[in-house]
Formats: sequence, C-alpha cells, structure tokens
Amino acid sequence: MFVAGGFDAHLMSTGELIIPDVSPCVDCYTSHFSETLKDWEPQYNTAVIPDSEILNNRFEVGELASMSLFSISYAVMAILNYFATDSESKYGRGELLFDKLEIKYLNISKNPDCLICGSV
Amino acid sequence: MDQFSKLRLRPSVAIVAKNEYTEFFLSNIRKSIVLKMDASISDLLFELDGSKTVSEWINQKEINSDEKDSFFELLSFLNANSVLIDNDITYNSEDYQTYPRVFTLLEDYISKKSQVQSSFDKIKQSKVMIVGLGSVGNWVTMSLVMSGVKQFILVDPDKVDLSNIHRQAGFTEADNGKTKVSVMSKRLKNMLSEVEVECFENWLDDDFFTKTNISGVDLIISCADYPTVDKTSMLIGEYCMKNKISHIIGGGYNLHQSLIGQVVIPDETACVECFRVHLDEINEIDTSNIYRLNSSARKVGSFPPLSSLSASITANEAFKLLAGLKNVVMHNSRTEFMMRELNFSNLLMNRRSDCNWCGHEGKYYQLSGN
Repeated sequence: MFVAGGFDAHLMSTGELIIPDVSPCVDCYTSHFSETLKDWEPQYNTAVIPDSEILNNRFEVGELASMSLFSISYAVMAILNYFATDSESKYGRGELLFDKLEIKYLNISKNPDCLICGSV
Repeated sequence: MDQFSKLRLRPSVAIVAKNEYTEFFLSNIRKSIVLKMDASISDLLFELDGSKTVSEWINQKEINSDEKDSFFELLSFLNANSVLIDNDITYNSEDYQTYPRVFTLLEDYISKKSQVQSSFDKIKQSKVMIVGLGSVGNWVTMSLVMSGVKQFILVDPDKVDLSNIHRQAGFTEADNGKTKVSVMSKRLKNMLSEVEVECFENWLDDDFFTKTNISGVDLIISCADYPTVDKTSMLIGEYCMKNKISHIIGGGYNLHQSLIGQVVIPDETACVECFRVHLDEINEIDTSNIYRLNSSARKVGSFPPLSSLSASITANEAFKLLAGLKNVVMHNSRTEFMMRELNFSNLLMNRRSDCNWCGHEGKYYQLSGN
C-alpha cells in the first residue's frame, strides 16, 4: 500500500510505501507519531470560522495545486520503483517545504514491538 | 499594525501552551514560533475574532499601561509573523469561494486581508507566457490556472502526436494532429471559462520577438527544448533583460530531465548569462577527442513523474513571483532531483559583477535602473 495523500496540512509530503514484513507498517507510523507528539496538544481557533466553512471542510488548509503535483509525482516514482525493483524506497515519510528546496525525511523504522508487524 | 487594526487569530495556526512557553505553529508552512509566555495570555488570543480594534480589545482588559504596551508589542509581533491577521476587509466573495486555499496560503505571508486580496488580484490580472507545451510546460500551465492565473500566451509550433500522449499531460488520442497551442487553449478554457489565451504556433527563433506582438507580459516561463535549452534560454533571457520581465528557465533540459532552472528577476538576481558563464567554467573539459552527437539522431527517454515534479517546483516559484512573495528559492540557483537520493541537489551561484548582461559593465546594467 502506498499512503500517498490525505495529510491535512502536510502540503508537499512524500508519503510512504508499506510492504508487509519489509517496511514499517501503518501502525508503526501511527505509534511513532503518537509517541513523538504525545505532549503536543494543539488548540485551533475554530470559533472564528463560520459553520458553513466548517461543513465544507475548507477553512483550515492553504495549498496550491502545484504542491499536490509534487506529492503525486513523488508517489508515482516510488510506486514505479517498487514495480521495477521489488524493493522499498530507503526513505519513508518526508516533507518538502514551500520556502526551501530540501526534503526532510522522518526516518521512521520498523517497530520491533509493533502489535501488527512486530515479533511479539 | 496600529491601534485600529482588527486582529483575528488565524484558524490554521496551532497554539500549544506548555509550562512557561507557548508555541505558535503555522501548520500550512510548518513554521514554528516559540515564546516564553504564560498560558493565560495565549488563552486570551482566542478572543481575537477580527471584530474589535486592538485598542478596544486592550482597553477592555483590566491591566495597567505598561502591560497594555507589552500586549500591543506582542500583538504586533504575532501579526508580523502571520499568527494574527488584520481583518480590515472582507475578501471578494467570488474569488474566495473559488480559491479559498490559495487565500489561506497567502495569509501565511501577509499581515492584512486587504494585502492578501491585492496579492491575489496581482495573480488574477497577470499575464504569463509559456514557451513549449510538453512534459513540463503543460503541467505548469494547468497548475497556474488552478492557482488563479487567467491570462496566458502559449508558444509552440508542434502538433500533437500519438507519441506525446504517454508523457505530456492534457492531450488525448482525439487531439492527434491538432496544434498543441489550440488543444491546450481549449483545455484551459474548459477548466475556467474566464481564461484568455493568445496562441503562437511559432518556433522560438532569433526573430520571434521582433515578428510577434507580445505585450503586457508579467512572467515568461521557458519549457522549450528546440533547438536546445541553451539557445531558447538565451533568447528569452535577453528579451526579458531588455524589457525587465521576470523569467524562469523551467524545463526543456534534454538530457537532464529532472533539472529545474533558475528564476531570474532583472536587476536583482543572477541572469541567464551569469549562469552560462558559470556553467562553462565548471564544465570545462578537453573536448578534442569527443564527437558531438547530432541532436536529430538523439532519442531521449522521458519519465513523466520526473517532468511533473519539475513542473510542480516551477509552478510554485511562478506563483510566488506573481503574488509578490519574498520566498522564491530558485533565484541564483538551479536544482536537480536526484532519483537515487530522492532529494534535490542545488547549484548555487550569485550574480556576476563581470556579466556581459547584468554586470557593472553589462549592456543591461543601465537599463536595470542602476
């Protein structure tokens, strides 16, 4: 499975290829974020948003079509690489920032204690 | 910001108050600002809904004048850093309803809603010329329509061929034999009926700019590979330097499909000629035993996701230029996406003082208002 998009405010994310028994699984990613962000409790000012905007889910994210085009392009490259080489990319989730031209990767590894894909 | 500003806490900003620190995280652009500040103060910021002026809001607090001054300073800082926006106007309803996410992104860089609207108006009123409708040019053109650009000049003499369809977005089998500019023009108008397109079915040759009537262009993007990207870049670069037009060498790199060229802002950044000289210097090799392959015999592979990735960066940079944002990253720089490293490799270079075009003795130095 390739997790290509749907990241709310991660506008130029690279997404990750999940290969069972080979790569970190979705739960490894979820656990990683739960752990690293456990003390991060953001509050948003939703009070100033009209209900109509909340219903349309169009209030919170700023983006351009060309930003999505980056994520699409990256995903297609990673998927074709998988078909051609039958191997995972050495990189997983990363993010290209609008103000810089460098992808920052998170380097999330397979969690040996993962209840889904770990040895336990 | 002044005492009459009506500040609003932007909904895309996450506030995380912990111990004596408060983090303001601009989620769209992943920018974090951490201030040593009591959580009770950050709680107050949630009251800022854009309805009261700063002085009305501060005066209703039971605080002394020193604290009022500190509050004013804090609000001013947060406004300058796009945590708070001055709600001084209501956006044009049609624009905002059609492009809400573009407006929200602009808010990350601009402190007043009236300036955000002005910035979007600039995008909407700008005219962009795109030379070369191929693997990169088509994606760039469509991306810019989706970001609000409504006026285009498209230049390409080619007709759609079946061999284009597997690598150039926007063409279908039914377009086989039609000119690329006519097909893309129709496609853009189908995307948005207000789009205006001037089409030129011409090669970009030495006479192009003297033979054609090009006017009112705000930005030229070169995605042309014929006869070579070096030739087309020089033609476009020189025309733009003469006429003080910003330009981007976006694509057309035959053997470097992942190469993304520089943004040139006349009078500010390194120009095409600066790059040519610099590249000649670093690429100098002994060519005495090397035969140059005739380009007509050269068939180059193409990889569509690499072209669309290049187009994505080029379109982002074009958006920044048109909107008047200051976060352009491709000036004084060209970059290549490295397939193995899955990252960008940047070649940086500054404007050359000895440049024949923009240097101190250069032929366009005076034209640049220096």
